[in-house]
Amino acid sequence: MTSQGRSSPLLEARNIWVVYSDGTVANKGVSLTLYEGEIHGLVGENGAGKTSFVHVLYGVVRPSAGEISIRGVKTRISSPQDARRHGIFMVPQHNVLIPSLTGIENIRLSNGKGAVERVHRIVDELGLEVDLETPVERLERGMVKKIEVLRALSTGARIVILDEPTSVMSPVEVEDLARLLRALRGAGFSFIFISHRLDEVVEICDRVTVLRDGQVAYTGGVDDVDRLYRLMFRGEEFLGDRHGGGGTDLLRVYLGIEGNGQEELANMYLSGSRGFTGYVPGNPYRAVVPGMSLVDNVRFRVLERDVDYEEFTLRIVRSYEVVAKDIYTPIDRLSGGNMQRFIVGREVELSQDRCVLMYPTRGLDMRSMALLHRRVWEAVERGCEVIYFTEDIEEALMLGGLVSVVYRGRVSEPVPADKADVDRLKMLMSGIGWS
Amino acid sequence: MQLYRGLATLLAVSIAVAAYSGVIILYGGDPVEAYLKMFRNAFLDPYGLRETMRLAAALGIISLGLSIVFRAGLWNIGAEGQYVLGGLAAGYVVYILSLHGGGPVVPLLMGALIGGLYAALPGVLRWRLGVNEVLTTLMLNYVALYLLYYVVYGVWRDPQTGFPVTPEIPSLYRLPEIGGFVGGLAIMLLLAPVLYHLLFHTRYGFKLRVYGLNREAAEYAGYDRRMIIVSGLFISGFLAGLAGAGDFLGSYYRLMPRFSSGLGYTAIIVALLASNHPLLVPIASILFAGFLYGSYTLAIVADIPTEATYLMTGLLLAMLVSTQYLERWIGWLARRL
Repeated sequence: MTSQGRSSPLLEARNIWVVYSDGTVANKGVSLTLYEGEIHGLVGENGAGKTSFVHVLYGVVRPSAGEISIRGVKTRISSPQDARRHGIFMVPQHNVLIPSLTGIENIRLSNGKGAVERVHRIVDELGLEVDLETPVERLERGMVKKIEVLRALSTGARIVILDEPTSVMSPVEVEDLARLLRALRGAGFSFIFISHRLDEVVEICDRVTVLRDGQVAYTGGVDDVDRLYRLMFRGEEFLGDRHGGGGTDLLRVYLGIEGNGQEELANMYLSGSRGFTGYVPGNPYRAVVPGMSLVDNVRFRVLERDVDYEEFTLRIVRSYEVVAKDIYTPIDRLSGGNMQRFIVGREVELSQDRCVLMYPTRGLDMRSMALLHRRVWEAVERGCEVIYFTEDIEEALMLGGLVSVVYRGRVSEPVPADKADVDRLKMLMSGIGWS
Repeated sequence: MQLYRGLATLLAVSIAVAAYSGVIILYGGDPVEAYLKMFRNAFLDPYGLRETMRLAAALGIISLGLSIVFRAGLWNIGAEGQYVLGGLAAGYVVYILSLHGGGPVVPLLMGALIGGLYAALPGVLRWRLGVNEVLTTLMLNYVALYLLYYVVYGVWRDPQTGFPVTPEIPSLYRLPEIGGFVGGLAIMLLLAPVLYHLLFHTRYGFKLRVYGLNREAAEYAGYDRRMIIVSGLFISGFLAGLAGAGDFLGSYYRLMPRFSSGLGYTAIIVALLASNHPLLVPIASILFAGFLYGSYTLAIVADIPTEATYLMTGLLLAMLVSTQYLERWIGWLARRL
């Protein structure tokens, strides 16, 4: 695939170690070579060291050992500004553009007039389909991500690090982004593509590096998903426990990209319930109190109820595999994935007759996802109704239950997950096939 | 994090002290000698100690209330007005109603209650109309201040002296002195653990803190926003009003145009200095009162202008408000080293 790539390495990171001041070792000698015109996938479960590694490349974290060469020249990258000077730019996971401005206005504001010309040149030469004239707030998220990639290139960057760019995109938008990246690859730009969706990595990337426990478990060409999965999770079987249970009424799955009316649907379910209704909001930060301990983060939720907070917190930490020093640790010390599992666990286990989960596995790796699915089914089995929102078709099918697609305020006829037609779901999610 | 917070506060204080020392040097003084003199005047001299403690009591009582409401993430900038109105309400009981029963108790409680209601008003505006409490509490300071001018220059003016002051109150209304100290200090020291308990060991205090740390989370958990906003502001106003009535009944015995002279603003600094922790407020208020009184004496004996004091308090406030950024910066620095 990388016929042009074998020339000379554009970027080489050798034997990178990252040791944080609290003693955590995030990277244990990670090496990665990026060629010109290559899309290089970087995968690994939560906490495998992906973020630390790219933060080293971007000058956010100083490595304890190891070296970086750019075009064969040994280089020290001491800050993001420094990284940009060396032609490296990182596109963060969450949108950083100003919503009321257009793509061009955003680019001019952050990088100046020369940047705008550069972007126009790239767009014209490659014939890219990008809407740079509409205010960003009116664009689909896939388009916004494409603009962010162009904004990165407008600085003159040759290497773009994409941090989970597809985590909130519909399949059609992912396909679209892939097309853009391929066109740019042809023009000699290189990408480091972080993802936890292996099917996408196989689809989009030329080569892939798998991190596990801070070490490189594999680096090379991409072949099949199953093999990558086993590499990521030291040989565990690919999610064997696809929950066959099709059409239980108690598990309602709503599939669709956020902002299509899910908020309103959730509110409907939240208002019509008798017992305690568990609720994980779309923005999980709404559900935690930063600066308070894990125990207090349980307490604040059920202040009026007679619960042994400490025992309950311990139970959640154990059964949801939350990594924390102890239950008195401030919740903001937890990593994103751990906090997410903690919140979902708290809500699922507190639920009496109903539980509303909005995108509970967003940003989680596949193993965590499988864990949460098991717990959701346990809740269903004890008679709790679970309303589950997701943006991911694979997840919806894996989970089971009754699946409906949500699109622009409309909800499709529910079908049992095991009888669902994947192509039809994809079409509905993209707005095709609605009567 | 606790450590970084402490270091940030220390850094804020150091910068303010350095600026004040700079002014002393500009005026040809020796900073070390000046600080020693301030300390002697404020804590070792019997008259000075009494004045310092009087100031500390008022500052501390107001700051205790502010530490509660600040924890709820609500910025009551109106303690100044609530303090003044507390004094006015007590004055109303003494001069107009002339209720003798109970001596100072009725005017004292009346002052506190009116101060509380005066603070609760912006709270109501906050939850009903979403009006920013910073603006309303700040503006109401002027309303209270001009009301004070109105009574002092007009209707309650002492006819005998002709000065813009109200008549001295009869002794039966006066707060008793305890061992030469004003009773206010005892009240502050008693209140501190009570408010600590309220904030850290009751459901109410817990809700208040949750609301302050993440409003959305408080709403997510179904807390009553109205109750938190209005009661939080009421408590802070109640204590500011208590301090105002207390100073009227316990140290000035009359109202005059410079009845408050910025205590309510200074108390904001004290609360922040104590990290909004009720048990630290007494310490912070005594230290700060010592500095204030000491620097006033310095103005008289060493020609260091009072403006230098304002410069330092202003700078200190700015630095303390920035502590969360300083804290982050220190954390960042610590990771780099």
